[in-house]
Amino acid sequence: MTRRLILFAILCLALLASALYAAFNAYSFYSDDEDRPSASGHVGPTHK
Amino acid sequence: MSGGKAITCPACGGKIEVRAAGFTVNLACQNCGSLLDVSLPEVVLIRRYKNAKDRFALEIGKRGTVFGQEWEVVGALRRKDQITIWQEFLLFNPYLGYRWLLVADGEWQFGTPLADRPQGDRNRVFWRGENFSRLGRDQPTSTTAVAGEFYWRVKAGDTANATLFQSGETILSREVSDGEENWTQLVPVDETEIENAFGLNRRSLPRRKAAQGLMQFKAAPGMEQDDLGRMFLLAMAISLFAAIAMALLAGPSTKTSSMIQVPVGGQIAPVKIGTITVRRPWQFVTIDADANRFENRWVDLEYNLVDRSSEQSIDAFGLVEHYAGTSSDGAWTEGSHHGDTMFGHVPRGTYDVYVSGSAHGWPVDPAVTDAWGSTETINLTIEASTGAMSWGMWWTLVFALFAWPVSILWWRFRDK
Repeated sequence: MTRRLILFAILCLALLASALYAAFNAYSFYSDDEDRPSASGHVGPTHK
Repeated sequence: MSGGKAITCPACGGKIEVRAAGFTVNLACQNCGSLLDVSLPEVVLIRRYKNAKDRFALEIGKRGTVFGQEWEVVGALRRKDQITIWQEFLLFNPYLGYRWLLVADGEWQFGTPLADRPQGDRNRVFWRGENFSRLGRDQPTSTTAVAGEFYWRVKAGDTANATLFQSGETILSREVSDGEENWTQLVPVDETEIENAFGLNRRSLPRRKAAQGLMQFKAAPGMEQDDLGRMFLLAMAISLFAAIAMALLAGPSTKTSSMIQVPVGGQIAPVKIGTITVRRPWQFVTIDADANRFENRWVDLEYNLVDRSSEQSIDAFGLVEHYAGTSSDGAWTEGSHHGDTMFGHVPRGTYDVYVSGSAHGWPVDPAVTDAWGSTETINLTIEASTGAMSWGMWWTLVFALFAWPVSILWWRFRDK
């Protein structure tokens, strides 16, 4: 096993731990709390 | 060091200096790139080219001192195997003979051809009192560009099979080509030393490490144990495991739904659509709005989760919009009759779900009542639920997991 693979495995575990922590706490970068829709209807279609 | 002799290229008529006269067999004209046979008194054209277009990290003819000895760069090769592209430079000193400099992934190695062959089998060899273990698999290699002069016949397209053996920082390279076997000892040499000795054309380096330190992009032509496949497998395994674990952590699920009617050009006061229960310490709450068919209308929705115990409200917004028309390109549509809204980090509790909203026409609101005295309304089915996972977070994780191996893959093949 190369040093690079070991470092990658550590990175994977850190990312997995972060994702599971976020899932347990129901955190998401993509939740819509308090966000007004950016494509609010009054803008109308973008097709020209 | 002694000077060379000058010859005239039979292809382009340019003057070429033969630096290792008497030793050189093959020579690539530095003006037009044509391959010449200079082993005979009369220079013979082997293959004609119009341009010497290949650039190398070291300039042919440069002299410099490496490991305490002066060397002249007399030849350069660009070679590749299935995973790496590298450059090899033939060094010449009339008293010491030939040596090699190799550069791949920004790391340099100094090569000495071996007269005494190592002994052993395909996995382990013994040389000068030291055991060397095989490094990775055999790699078929090919030469893609040639410049300068060589003591054997070489041309672009030549192939060889390379096997590497390692002990500490020293590598023994075994190359077999046309039944001929060549061994070379390779030891690392600092790039600064090469730059000080010969100057360095950095723009022509075959490739460099993406980063030093943590990004240990391993060195040297085919000298790495290829771990890229394992990286992809690991990233896939972690992605699958994360999807299952995130789905389990998101549950359990409760849901409620109801239908509302929103008048176009008007609005509705908050309507309670039901009650949901967050059973874990924190959960996501998603609200899906599905509308009946309409065109050129939009519906702004406001959702309120009201905690029964504290009367505190958590608010979020949704939008359903759909447009259609025709242009010079033909008919077009835009938007969706469906809208999802996700509340994150909702604490444990029981919540009444309220929705209010307004609907509008584009480009202007229609008349509030039509000729029959009825009002146009948009029907929406609102469904609120707990227990959903954030797929956006999962895809972010997948992107982060695959970024490294995909970067390595791109780095390896970017020159091909």
